[in-house]
Amino acid sequence: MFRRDFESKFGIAVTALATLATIFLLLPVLFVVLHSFSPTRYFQWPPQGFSLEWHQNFYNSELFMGAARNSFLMALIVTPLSLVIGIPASYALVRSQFRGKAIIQQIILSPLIIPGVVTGVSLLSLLSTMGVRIGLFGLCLGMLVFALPFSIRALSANLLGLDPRIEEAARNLGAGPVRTFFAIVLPQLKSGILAASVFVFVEALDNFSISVFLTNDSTKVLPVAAYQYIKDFDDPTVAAMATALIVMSVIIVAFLEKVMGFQKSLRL
Amino acid sequence: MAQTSDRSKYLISPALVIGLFIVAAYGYFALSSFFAKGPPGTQFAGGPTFDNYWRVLSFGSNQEVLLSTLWASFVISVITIGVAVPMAMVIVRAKREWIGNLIMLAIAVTFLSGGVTRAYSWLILLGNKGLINLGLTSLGIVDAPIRFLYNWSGVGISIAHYLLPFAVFTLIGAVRNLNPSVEEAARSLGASRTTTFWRITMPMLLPGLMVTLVLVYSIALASFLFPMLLGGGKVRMIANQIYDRMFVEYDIPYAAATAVVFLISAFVSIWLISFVAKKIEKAVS
Amino acid sequence: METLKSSTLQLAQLTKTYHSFEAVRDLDLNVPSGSLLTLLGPSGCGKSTVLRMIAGFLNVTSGQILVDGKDISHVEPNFRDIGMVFQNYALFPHMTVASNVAFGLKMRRVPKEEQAVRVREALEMVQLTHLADRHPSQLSGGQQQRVALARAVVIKPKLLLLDEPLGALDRNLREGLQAELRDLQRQLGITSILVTHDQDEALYLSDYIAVMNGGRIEQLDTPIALYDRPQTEFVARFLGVPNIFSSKVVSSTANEVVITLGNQPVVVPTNQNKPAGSECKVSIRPSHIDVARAEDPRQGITATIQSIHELGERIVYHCAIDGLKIEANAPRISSSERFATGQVVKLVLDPSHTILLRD
Repeated sequence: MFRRDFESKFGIAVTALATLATIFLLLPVLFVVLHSFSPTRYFQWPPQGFSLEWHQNFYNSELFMGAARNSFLMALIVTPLSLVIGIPASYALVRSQFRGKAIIQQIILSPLIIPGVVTGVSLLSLLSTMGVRIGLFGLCLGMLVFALPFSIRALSANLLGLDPRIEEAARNLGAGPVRTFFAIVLPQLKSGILAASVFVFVEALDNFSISVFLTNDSTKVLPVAAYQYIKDFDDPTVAAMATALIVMSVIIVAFLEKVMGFQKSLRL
Repeated sequence: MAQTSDRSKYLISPALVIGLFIVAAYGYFALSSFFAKGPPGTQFAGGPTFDNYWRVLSFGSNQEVLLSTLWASFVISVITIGVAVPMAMVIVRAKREWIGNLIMLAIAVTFLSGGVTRAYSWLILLGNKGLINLGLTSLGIVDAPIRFLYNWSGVGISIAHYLLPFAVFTLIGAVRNLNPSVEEAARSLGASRTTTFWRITMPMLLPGLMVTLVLVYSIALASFLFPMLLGGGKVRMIANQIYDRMFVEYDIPYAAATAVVFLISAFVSIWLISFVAKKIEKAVS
Repeated sequence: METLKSSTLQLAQLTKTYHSFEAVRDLDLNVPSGSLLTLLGPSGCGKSTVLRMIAGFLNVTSGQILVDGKDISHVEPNFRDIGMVFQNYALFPHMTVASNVAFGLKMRRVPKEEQAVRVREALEMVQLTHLADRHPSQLSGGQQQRVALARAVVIKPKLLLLDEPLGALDRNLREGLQAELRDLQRQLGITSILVTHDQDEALYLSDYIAVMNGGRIEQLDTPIALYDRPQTEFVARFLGVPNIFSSKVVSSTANEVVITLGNQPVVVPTNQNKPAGSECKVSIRPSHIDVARAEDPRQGITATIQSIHELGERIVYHCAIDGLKIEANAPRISSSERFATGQVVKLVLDPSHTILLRD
């Protein structure tokens, strides 16, 4: 298992297994892109040609475009909020000691261990009791509650790797706590902030188990729209949606790679 | 220093408000499980009762869904980790760095493209006339198409695929923490590569494997979309059962009792896995 | 433990290249049986590369590694029969001290009873019998180091490789363990290669020292010869000689040359053939310069004392010869003569330790 071993039989076997696993991983991603250009309603092999029909169908669909608007609006509201609340919270969790910290941490991070369906159904039942009508507000609140722990986890991991003596040095040189935070801590949190925003943004767009409880016909989001479409129609329009999401994730990966090397930013 | 930390702890407040809100929601929902069913869609309409729990625990079909959720999640998690180990090894240790980078790239793009995308793709891929069956029949591996959809095989494949990036990300850290000179020491003392892998690498990796197992197991338990789409009502996991009780039967107390039983059995099974893992770690050392 | 049958190690034209970078170039080296040879040099000089090739963890680009005359450069590391003490020890964290030491014996299918006996002997040798059932994480750095040593020698290897074996320890502990390590190596008579960047460690432990630079051996000598007579500017600088001067040869005969320091002539014995007028470099250790009164009858050069530092056992004089800075040491004992800053003195250079450096 040392570097030179990758020239040996053992190394070749490990590499071969990893290659097979990677093919397994990429197969559905590549396939769905291919399928979205299918000229036929059903899957056929070899492809009988090339068609943009399903892409047109997707971009002209009232259902999908309305859902896309809702989804992106929600993601664009939830992502900054999760940072604004998550950054100070992570700072307190990592840097200061106080009584009940372990319990408070458990409370805040509880949606990480409770299945999404339970979180969704609990939120629905509390919100409707409180008289909050299902709508964008409830959806954003639900998604924020669900996504905040992910944001805090990514930010805390980043903060834990920072040397507190650097902050002490800033204080020693005359910077106040607020100034120290903005001038010293925040710039060092770049990779954590990037990881948290990517994760929250993608989760907000993709999450099904929360949004299925907190949306109705007027606030439908992409995953719910896709699910209903798959149930009612049998054509590759959802493949066109998937292709759009895959293109978006390729752009995100390229962006992360450009900004800091995505290996570093994806340590979630 | 004391002064600084005294004030910075209040930075947690907004997150704590949100945390308390969600905990209140969990508690409120759980509480409704102790009340009898009222008119459809209501909570706390009937009187206090343990009847919902009795219904959850006594019906054979409920027990079956619960046990198969726990068992299938465990099996799928173990298989996923088996697939993830060589990937993490190659990412961290491949001599040609581009191979590792390529695998990381594949994982990142797959991970970010989301669960709905992949669930849909597997639905088409695994159909009776889908690409997988087409490949298997035309290569002569099987005579007739294998049924992947509406049974555990398709659901399992899609869940494993969903778990794989999480498993690899977690294992990369564990593999990176292995000190290669420890393995070199074994080699210089006369151990072959295979012996070194099983007697040195794997035992050192064991704590990391167990952490990964608990993580992917808890994600697998929560599976909802994959059994819903690829199980076609034939394969149901607990999350689907809770959903159905909410939206098909409109029986909130029953759904709540199901969720409570689910959570308790999930925690117990995770605790059990960690407990057995500790025993194994002790036995190995 | 009884003395081992000791082997010889020979490296012939050993070369390691990465793409176009040559980490080790045409290295030739002979390590006599039973001796300890140190590869000394700064990081990146190729010393660890050589060690890892001998152990079998790096492929050889070309050349041979001969143990008792047999080329092992293509043998798998597990069949080489070479004991190694790793930097940071690389103990198996999930095994007890005893299982760590027994591992190599287990791999060699040594019978259980014999294993137990040999593990005990090895642990006795490093005085760790009482810790046999502990795990490495429960041991101090020095104890871990000794377990690593026991684990490496219990298999009675043909060679012992030591990769910065004391580098992770603090100074006091290191000195104690140096003595233990040396006694053990002599007692077992095991042919050993040590890699270090610490010259004191190398001087203390070694029978021979090879100073490496840029993938080559700059000088191979006994510790004393290396200390007293560094042959190249790199070696002199690496060993901390402060007095290295560029000069020109004024005249030369068969076994000496005359050069100038400042404007004053200095005779340097050498067998190098340097024609008059050519550029050259000389070095001399401060302790090989005697500080004397200006009227001293001996041959010497006139200098002015610029500063004086009394440091423990010695007095350091910083002097100037016509603008050239030179350092001289004198022992700080009550009988030795004291000089004052600004005083003009005569510096008497010990000719046998004034060295004309090779280019």
